[in-house]
Amino acid sequence: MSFDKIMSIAGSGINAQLVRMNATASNLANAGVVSGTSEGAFRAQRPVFSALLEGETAGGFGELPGGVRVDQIVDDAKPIEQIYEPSSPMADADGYVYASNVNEVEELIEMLDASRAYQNNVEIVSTAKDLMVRTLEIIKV
Amino acid sequence: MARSLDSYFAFNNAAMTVKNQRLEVISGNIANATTPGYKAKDLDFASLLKKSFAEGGEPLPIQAENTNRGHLGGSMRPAWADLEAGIVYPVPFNPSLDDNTVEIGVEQARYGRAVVDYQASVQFMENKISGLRKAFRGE
Repeated sequence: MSFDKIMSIAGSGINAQLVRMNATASNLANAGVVSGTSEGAFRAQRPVFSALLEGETAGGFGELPGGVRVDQIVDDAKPIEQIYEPSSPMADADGYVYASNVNEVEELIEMLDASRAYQNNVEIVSTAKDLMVRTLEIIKV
Repeated sequence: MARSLDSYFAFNNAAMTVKNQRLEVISGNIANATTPGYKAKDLDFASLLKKSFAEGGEPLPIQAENTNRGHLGGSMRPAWADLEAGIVYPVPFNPSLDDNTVEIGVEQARYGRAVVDYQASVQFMENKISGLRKAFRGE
């Protein structure tokens, strides 16, 4: 029965979107984090997806050709803002702190997009399940 | 009845396999809706059928007999033998910045259509079975 294939492909999509939502949650939670160095400042995390092609899958659940996987998680390249705040315990010798480069508006949009894509995959699973049940009912006729 | 039950159901079996495959291809598109560079795929029944008629393939289980001189010869491959042959890459209505050609609305519509197609096959199968049962009972 290849319905389980549909289920695992949609499952890989659900998993990928969940990683994206997790990254968004982490970005929003860390939006106010400041650091004493430019390198140590929090950078927004972005998962990058890639399609699973024929012959490059390990074969576990959600590892079927046609599915999707989280290829890597990269730092957002937006510049880090330098804020003059000598009273902060994190401030460097010149009195500067380095804020995160998280943009709340961007993150909320990312969350909406991930949530919609997640729902699409859930819909696929639910429809495939209905069809599976319907197919099993053939023997009842 | 000279034909076996296998060949009685062979056509529906093939149809359901192909339609199931199409559901699988479309669910792959929706899973990859946010993958950069991904190209949306579809299973085109017409080109699959055309490929099935190509010469040199294995004969179809339900092979047509040549009972008349005017009948055309040639073998036919079962449609499910070479599903890759039916894969097409639809051109998107709107290009996207990351080269992903999945348009979620279009894919949803395609999936809906594929589901109805599959249900139709299930219905045909059910009708065949109930017809068979009626024949068994002989009422």
